Amino acid sequence: MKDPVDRLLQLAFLEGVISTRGAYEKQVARKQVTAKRSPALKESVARRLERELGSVQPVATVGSFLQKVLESPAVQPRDVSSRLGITANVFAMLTRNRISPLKVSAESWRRFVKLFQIPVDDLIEMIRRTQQLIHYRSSFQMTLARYDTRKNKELKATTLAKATEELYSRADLPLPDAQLRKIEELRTELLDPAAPDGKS
Amino acid sequence: MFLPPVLEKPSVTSPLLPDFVLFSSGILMPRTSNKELVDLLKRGEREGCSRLMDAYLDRLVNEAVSIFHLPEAESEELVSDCLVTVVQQIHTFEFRKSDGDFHFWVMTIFKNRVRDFVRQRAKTVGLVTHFQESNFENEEMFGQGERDVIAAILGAYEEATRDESTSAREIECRERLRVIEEVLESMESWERVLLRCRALEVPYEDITRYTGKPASQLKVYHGRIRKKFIKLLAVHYPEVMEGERSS
Repeated sequence: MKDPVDRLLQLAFLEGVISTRGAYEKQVARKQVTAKRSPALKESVARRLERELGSVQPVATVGSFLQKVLESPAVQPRDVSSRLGITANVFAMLTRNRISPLKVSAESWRRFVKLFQIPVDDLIEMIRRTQQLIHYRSSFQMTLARYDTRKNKELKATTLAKATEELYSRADLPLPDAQLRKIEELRTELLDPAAPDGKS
Repeated sequence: MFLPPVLEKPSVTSPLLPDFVLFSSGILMPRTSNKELVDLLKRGEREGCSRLMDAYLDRLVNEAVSIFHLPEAESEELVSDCLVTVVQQIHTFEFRKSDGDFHFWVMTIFKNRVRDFVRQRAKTVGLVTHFQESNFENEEMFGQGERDVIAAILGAYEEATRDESTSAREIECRERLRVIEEVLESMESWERVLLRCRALEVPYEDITRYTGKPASQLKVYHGRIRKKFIKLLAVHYPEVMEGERSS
């Protein structure tokens, strides 16, 4: 039978008034679980999780991230660009993945992290994928240029270009060393707590 | 590279449990790194869901039922919601110190869910009834005045949960329990650790590591320190104790 003092302390723990400094959480990780839930419950939870996972699409590039942000009617491109400290023109090119993210200053990316509250590593991954897309775009455009059929040529080319762009942005392709070095330098700079407005 | 999902480097792999790793501190966890699990979920892979469920479903339901005394059906629903939140919020999570960060993050989500459940229960049916299922009526343990003090704290907490404004409710719920923190602060450090940890059933052997006192001694002292705590708590409610004495 649980003691009322223990229950009172539990309540204070749940409300964040007192803590065990991680002792409880470590204890939970250590416990051997004996009582198992029914397979029916596990199946229904698995289905729920998979459904959620399907609706949570990871953002592939800087452009797709910004496009998602701009879907909200409350967000104006001009406001976002001024808060990031970049021109409206550069912002427009970023939303369409038409400019190398390495041409944008570290300071602006620092503001980006702060404004959208995203982990630096996630931003770096978006930057890497955007850079990959830009780096390989010329080669896939050349391939597309060779694509030629008489019927619906334009429509098919547009569809192909869209599909190719998505494939390139999602694939893991090697980038030239110099570009990778720049991305790594940017990451180091963004993670530097001594930098202005840097993450602590 | 395959690393287990825990707080430190692995020490032993048991031949009887090849899918588990035993750590020097006694932690036994599935042989999947949290980093790998988080990557799977961030990539949107279904395997991430089954690994998350294997690691946490039974574990957290057991905690909700055995530690926080929630009904089994509600516990299952609560943990299911908690795991859904993990999946929904996975893109906001990042490792800062170690592989164990993920476990602490999941535990925070779980703790918040249990807290919301308890608040809801306090708001609707009240908590005193549930406390009466405990050792509350043991007259050797608690005098009427001390029981009234606990009831007064719970009553104030229940009142705070009925606050319409979310932010005010958030602050008030904590404020009504602040007296517990004050009383603990007035006690010796090892007594505080013992009370906090035992309330959540952290084993005496672990508390020995934090306090430097032998487990056998801690077991003996625990009951006395609980009594000391409740007496110190009563000092903060002179009106309740006074009313008790005069009646």
